Amino acid sequence: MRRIGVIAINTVRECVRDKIFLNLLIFGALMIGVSILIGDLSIGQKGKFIKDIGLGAISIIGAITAILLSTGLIRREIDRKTIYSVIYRPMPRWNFLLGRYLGICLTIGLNVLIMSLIFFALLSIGRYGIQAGMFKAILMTYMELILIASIGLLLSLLLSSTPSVIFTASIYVAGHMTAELKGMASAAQSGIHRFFLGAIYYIFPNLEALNLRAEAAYGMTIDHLYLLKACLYALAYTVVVLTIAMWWFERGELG
Amino acid sequence: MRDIALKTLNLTKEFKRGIGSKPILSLQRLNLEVMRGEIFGYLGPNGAGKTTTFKILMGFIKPTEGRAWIFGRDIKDHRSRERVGFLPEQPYFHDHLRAEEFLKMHARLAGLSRREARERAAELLRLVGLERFRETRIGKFSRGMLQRIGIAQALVNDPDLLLLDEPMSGLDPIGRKQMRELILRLKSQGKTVIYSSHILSDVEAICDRVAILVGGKLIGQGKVEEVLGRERSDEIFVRRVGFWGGEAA
Repeated sequence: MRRIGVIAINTVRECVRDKIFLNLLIFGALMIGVSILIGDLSIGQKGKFIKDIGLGAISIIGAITAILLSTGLIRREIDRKTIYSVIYRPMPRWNFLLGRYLGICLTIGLNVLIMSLIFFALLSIGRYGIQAGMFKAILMTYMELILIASIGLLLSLLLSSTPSVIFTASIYVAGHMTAELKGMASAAQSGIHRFFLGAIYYIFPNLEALNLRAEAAYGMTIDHLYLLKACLYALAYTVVVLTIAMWWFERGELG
Repeated sequence: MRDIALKTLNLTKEFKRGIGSKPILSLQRLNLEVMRGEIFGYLGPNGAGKTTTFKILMGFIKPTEGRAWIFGRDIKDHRSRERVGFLPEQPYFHDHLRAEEFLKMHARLAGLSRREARERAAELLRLVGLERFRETRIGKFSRGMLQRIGIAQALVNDPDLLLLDEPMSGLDPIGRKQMRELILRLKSQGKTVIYSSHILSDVEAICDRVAILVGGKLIGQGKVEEVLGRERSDEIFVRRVGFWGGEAA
């Protein structure tokens, strides 16, 4: 357990010292800031508009961070052979992978936390009000991000850098379109299409179930039971994907 | 088995290529025995299979056939590496870490407490002459400095067995001399050192025994003069390795 923690902390250190992390944070802060400026364009809906854009920015920047970190870190270690000096230590290989994953989750959490603080600070300055639903929406965004990070990690073990980024990003997009996928599956004429679309619907994560941003922006009540179920769904999906990744990493060759 | 630090039995490694292509046989039925407390030179030209052997022993890749034991424990068990320090061939380390952070991380991974890790990192930085650079990021290190920090990380757990893959490569003559002195000092502390090289002169001066690998096959193992003869020089070595390589093929 201690070794997993050491690897996780080192991963956070590595990520926050990476310029990409800082650049994404600045970009996210700018997006949230700009939402205040262009909020004037929306007639009578400025508060909702700002909240919508702000929560959206946290989600999008968080997703880019999650995808880049999860697909890049391990792959880069393998390609640059820095993994050798760590992996020979007397520990099962999955310790290394889990440590890396937890480090990525902590970094994503830091990213979400900093952007949320900027968002809430701007809302307070502009007196737009902060509702409990926003915290819930941000929590679910975080669950969504750690789920997508587990998929990125798995794909980075199976594929090279660029394909793993493309596939993880595609799954992220498809995960937000699961309702459409289900509709397309039931409307499909051919059996093969129906089977294929149905399979994607059941295999891909239903990220839209974790998207509570619109409800939060419009001040709607978010049911606690729904929140709990959605959290459990995200955690279960993540555990399954991570288990596959650890199994694969444990048996694969590094060199 | 009690006096044996490392033993391999028919260790074989085939690398699969694409469908329809013949696999590459990188290591063929390797049988090695390294005794405790000796300096063991693992010689062979580039591509002979030296690094492949180390990769198998450190668990990076799995042998196609055969087995190996470190201090009597099967290498399939990760605990076989508890008393091992390893220096990879190309010392690529985590660029973003400062020298002290890097050693502390390795010390913690090797099982040391936070306080022990801090003390050990300081001690090792002194030993390899990088004390002044403790706050410098590894990404800014020269090749020689990387080799030194690499040795420091290999020593972090005070190992009984050191596996050094081409430790002299990239070092200037002073660096090579210091490395030889360090290896001899480790031997005097009762440690076993196995190190690979393709340069005979690096090995003959300090090794108790050597093994020579050509084309994945072990062609000799024993004391330096037994394996290479008394009139040894790099030229003779190259000629013999060429001859053995031809014979092996």
